[in-house]
Amino acid sequence: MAIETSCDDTSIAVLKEDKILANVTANQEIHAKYGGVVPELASRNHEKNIVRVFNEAINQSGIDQSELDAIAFTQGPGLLGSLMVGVSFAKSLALGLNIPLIAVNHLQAHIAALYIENPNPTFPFICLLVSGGHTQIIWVKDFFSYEILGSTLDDAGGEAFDKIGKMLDLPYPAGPAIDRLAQKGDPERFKFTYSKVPDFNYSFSGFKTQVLYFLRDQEKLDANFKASNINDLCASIQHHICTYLLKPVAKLMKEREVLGLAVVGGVSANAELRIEMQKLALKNQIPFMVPDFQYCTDNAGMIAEVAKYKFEKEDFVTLDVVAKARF
Amino acid sequence: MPKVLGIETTGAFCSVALFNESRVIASKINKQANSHSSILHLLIQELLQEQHIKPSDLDAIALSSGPGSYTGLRIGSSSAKGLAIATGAKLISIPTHYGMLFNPTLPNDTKAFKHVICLTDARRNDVFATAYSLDKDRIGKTAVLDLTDELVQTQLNHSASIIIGSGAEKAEALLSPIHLYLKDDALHAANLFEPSTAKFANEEFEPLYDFGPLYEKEFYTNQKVSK
Repeated sequence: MAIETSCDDTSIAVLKEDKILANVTANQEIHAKYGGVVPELASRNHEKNIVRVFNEAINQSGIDQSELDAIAFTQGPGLLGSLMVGVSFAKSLALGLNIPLIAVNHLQAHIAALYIENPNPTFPFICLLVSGGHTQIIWVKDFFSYEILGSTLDDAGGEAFDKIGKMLDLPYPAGPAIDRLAQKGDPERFKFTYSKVPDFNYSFSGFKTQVLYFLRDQEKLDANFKASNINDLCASIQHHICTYLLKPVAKLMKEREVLGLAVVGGVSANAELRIEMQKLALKNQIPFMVPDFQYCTDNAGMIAEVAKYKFEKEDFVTLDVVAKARF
Repeated sequence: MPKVLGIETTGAFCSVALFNESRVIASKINKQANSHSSILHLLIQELLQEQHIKPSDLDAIALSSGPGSYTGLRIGSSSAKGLAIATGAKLISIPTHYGMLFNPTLPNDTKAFKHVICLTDARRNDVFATAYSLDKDRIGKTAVLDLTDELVQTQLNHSASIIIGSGAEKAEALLSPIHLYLKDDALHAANLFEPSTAKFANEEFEPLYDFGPLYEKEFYTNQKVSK
C-alpha cells in the first residue's frame, strides 16, 4: 500500500506484484476559491479524508488489509504539514500490522510513473518533470540513479500556468482550461520574450510579469481585451511555455548521447507539451515516454511503483523517519 | 481486561500511556520539544514491547484531541486513526482541556475556588480557554480569548479560579492575583486514564471516517478569496 499526501491530493494505492489494484485520490477543490493551495487547509483536509480514501482503496483492491506486506509513503518534497499526515498514518499502519515501512521520494515517483506502462525503458534518458510544484530536467541513468541537471529558479511550470490563468480570470487550477481554450486559438498571435538563465535551468517570473503588464496595457485600450481574445491568449501563452520548456532539453540532447525522452508531472497532461516532446524524440530517433493520464498528476500509484523496487531490495525505514519538505 | 493506549501530542512534549480498566500500567514522555513526528511511534513501540503487548492486543486508542498545536493535533489524530484501523481498536476522543483536569498538579482540595480554567497558549496574545466547574462540568464552550482585552480580563477576574495549562504564565502577567496559577502545561497521556476508562465503559467511540481533531479555531490565511 502506498500513501501520497505531499500537496493537496490525498491518494492511496494498492499494488500486487506488477499490478496496481487501486489508485484512489481525493482532490481538495476548496483551494480553487483562493486561487492556490492554502497549506493549513490542505493539511486539515488530508487528516479529514485519509480514512475514507483508505477504505475506498481497500475496497477497490479486493484484498484484505491483513494481506498487506508493506506500507509506503511520500517522504517529500512537498508541503510539510500535508506530508506529516501521510507519514503519521503510514507509520501507524506499519506498526499496527507489523509490516515494513518504505519512504519514497515524490520526484523519483514521478519518474517511476513511466515504468507502470513501460517496465523496460532504454537508459539513459532525459526526463522533463513539470508540475505545479516542480520543474526539472533529470538525467535518468537507471531505475535507481538519476541526476538533476536543471531546475526552475523561481516558479514551477505548472505554477506559471496557474498564476497566468488567474490573471486571465480562469478557475484554479488553470492548466487544463488553458490547454482546452488554446486548441481554438492562434499560438503565434502574441509574442513574449524568453527569459535567459544559465545552464539547463528555467525562470518563469519574468514571463509572468511580461504577461501582467501586457494585459494591463491592452485593457487600457480595450476593457474586454481578455474575454474577446481568450483563445489566442491561451494558445500564445501555452506555446511560449512549451517552447521554453523544450529549449534546454534540446540543448542537452546535442551534448549527450541520449537513448530516450520522457515528460512527467501534472503538466505532462498538456497536449502541446506532449506533442512537441514527441516531435523532438522522433527527430532524434529515440523512444518517447509519457505516463498514462491517471499517473501524471500527484497519485499514490507512482509511489507504489517506487515502493515495489524498494521492497525487492528490502530498503525499509524505521519508525523515527520524518517528512522532508526539501530533498 | 481491556487495554487502552493513550496518546498526547497537542503540546510541546509528546507522551503515551497504557491503561487497563483499573490503573495506568506504564507511560512514557519525550522531553525534547516539538519532535512528535519522529518520536511518537518509537514511544508507542517501546511502551508496548516493554509490557509484552502486541498492537493487535489493544482494545482502544484514547486521543487527547485538542485544542493545541495544529501540527501536533494532526500527528496525534492521523496516528491514532492509522493504529485503530490496523489493529481494530476503538477510537476514544478526550478533549485536551478535560484531560488536564486529571493532571496530578491540580490540588485535591479546591473548595476555595469557583472554577478551573484550562488555558492553552495559542500564539500572540491569544489562548484557547475552557472553564470547568469543580465537578468537572464544562461551562460554555472552548473559546479563543485575547488576554489583553479588558472585557475578557474583567470576566476572568470575576471570581477566584485555578488557572492551569501552557497559557497560565501569560495569564498571570495579565490577570488578577486572586487566581491560583499552576504553570504546568498539564499535558500527559496518563491524564487520559480516568476519562477514557469512563468512555470505554459507556462505549462512547468515535467513527474513524468522520472524526477530526478539535482545532477550535478557523484556519488563518492571508490568501484572498478570488472572485
